[in-house]
Amino acid sequence: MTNLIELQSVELVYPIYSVKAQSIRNVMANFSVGGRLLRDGSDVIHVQALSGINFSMQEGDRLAIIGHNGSGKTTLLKVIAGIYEPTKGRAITNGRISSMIDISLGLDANLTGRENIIVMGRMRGLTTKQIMAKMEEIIAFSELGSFIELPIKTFSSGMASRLVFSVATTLDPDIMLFDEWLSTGDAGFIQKAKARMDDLVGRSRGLVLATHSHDLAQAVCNKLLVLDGGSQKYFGSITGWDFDKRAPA
Amino acid sequence: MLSKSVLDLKRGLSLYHVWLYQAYHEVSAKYKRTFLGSLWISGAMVATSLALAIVMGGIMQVDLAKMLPYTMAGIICFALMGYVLTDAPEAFMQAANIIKNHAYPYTYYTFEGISRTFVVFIHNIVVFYITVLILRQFVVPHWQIVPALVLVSGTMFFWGSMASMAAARFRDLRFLLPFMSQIIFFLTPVFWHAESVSGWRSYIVHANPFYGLLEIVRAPLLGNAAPFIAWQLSLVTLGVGIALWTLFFSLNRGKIAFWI
Repeated sequence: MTNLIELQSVELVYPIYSVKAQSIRNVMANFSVGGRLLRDGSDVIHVQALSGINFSMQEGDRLAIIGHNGSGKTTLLKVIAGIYEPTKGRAITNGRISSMIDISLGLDANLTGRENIIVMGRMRGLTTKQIMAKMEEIIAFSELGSFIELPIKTFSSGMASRLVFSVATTLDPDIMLFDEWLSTGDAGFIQKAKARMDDLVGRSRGLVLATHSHDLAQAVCNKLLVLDGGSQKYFGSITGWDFDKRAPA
Repeated sequence: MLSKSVLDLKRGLSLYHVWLYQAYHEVSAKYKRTFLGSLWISGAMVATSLALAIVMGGIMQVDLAKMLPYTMAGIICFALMGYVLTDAPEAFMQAANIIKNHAYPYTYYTFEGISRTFVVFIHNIVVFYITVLILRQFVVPHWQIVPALVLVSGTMFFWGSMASMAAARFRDLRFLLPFMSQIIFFLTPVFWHAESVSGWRSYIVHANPFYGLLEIVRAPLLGNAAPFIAWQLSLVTLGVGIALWTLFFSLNRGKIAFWI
């Protein structure tokens, strides 16, 4: 059986460029004074964001990633999505990744909801005809009603996330990555989204969910990855982890 | 490293239906709710070329009917390579939100920018032909325009992709490069004739890649074959661009997401 997602001893060092390092004047000055005077000109800070990440997911697996703020959940999702390439190790994916890492991004604020659906669909490689066939289903699920004809800039963040969520889950349920998307919707939509997640488990080939909600992780996922300070504390079946003791059961 | 660049290029090309559509919609969306619609795209071009044709025609004692098609064609064709200096530096910066969320190929953003430039180019060409018909100066374009446009789009891609990368890493270039395009506009025979400079000044023609890439499109547009020097300059620029792009894009592609 082929692995849907496989990470082999992945390490990611994240360079952070200061204002000075992004200024060409400081870099040039560094050259001209032989790097003695303005040593700050090249101050790029390197952060070890992830180290020693090893796991694999098979077809049908639902993986939950939990950890404190800053433990590397979003960074790991971005490595899986292919946005960041690992500094060391390998990240292999077999399938189409549909990432919903920051739900409100990637929308064009001046276009209407309907036009944004077309743009998002085309960016995912679908033809306009295929998108139009699913259009009504997307609009119905998003419950935006006639708001769909208004420019996105009039939407609240919750409305925008409804739209992106229904586009991603309707058009492209192959391998889905979610990052804390539940926080923006209202209670009714969260219920509906949870139900959609259960439905997606059947339709998508795999699902990765970064979350703080232990209930959601236990309700939806069968595997668990615990991150602590960028390294992997636990990977395995979700039943093998004691959420109260924060230790393997 | 190299294979990832080639893969990026292939994936970027395969999204052609997306960037062509997006480019057209982005350009036309800007002119929504205006009376003249997308004709506004050519507004600035018409205004500049008319003003330059009146002044330069007066200085050089050339009839306006001869001067206007020349300056207009010059401005339209200069805008193609102008992409590298004006729009390319913004390409990755503007798409920062998408780049941080989706692993689309980086070449996609360059292709989209180039398509946008060509959408504007086509609008301008229509206005150009309307103008020459009014002035009774219509000529059939020389066949060289076809290879010239292919060569220019290739050069736009390789140098534009590098300009986008450089501007994402060094933020000064976002402001420096558009500024450079103004200087180069005046230093290139856009609205004056290449033959009118001599002595040391002839280097701004013979060593100016922007002249080469401008002239191989403009001369055929005005019905003539482009001079050999223009083809030489263009081919060298493309060759150097491919070599540098292969090196820099392969080395830095993985870092772009951290730069923006």
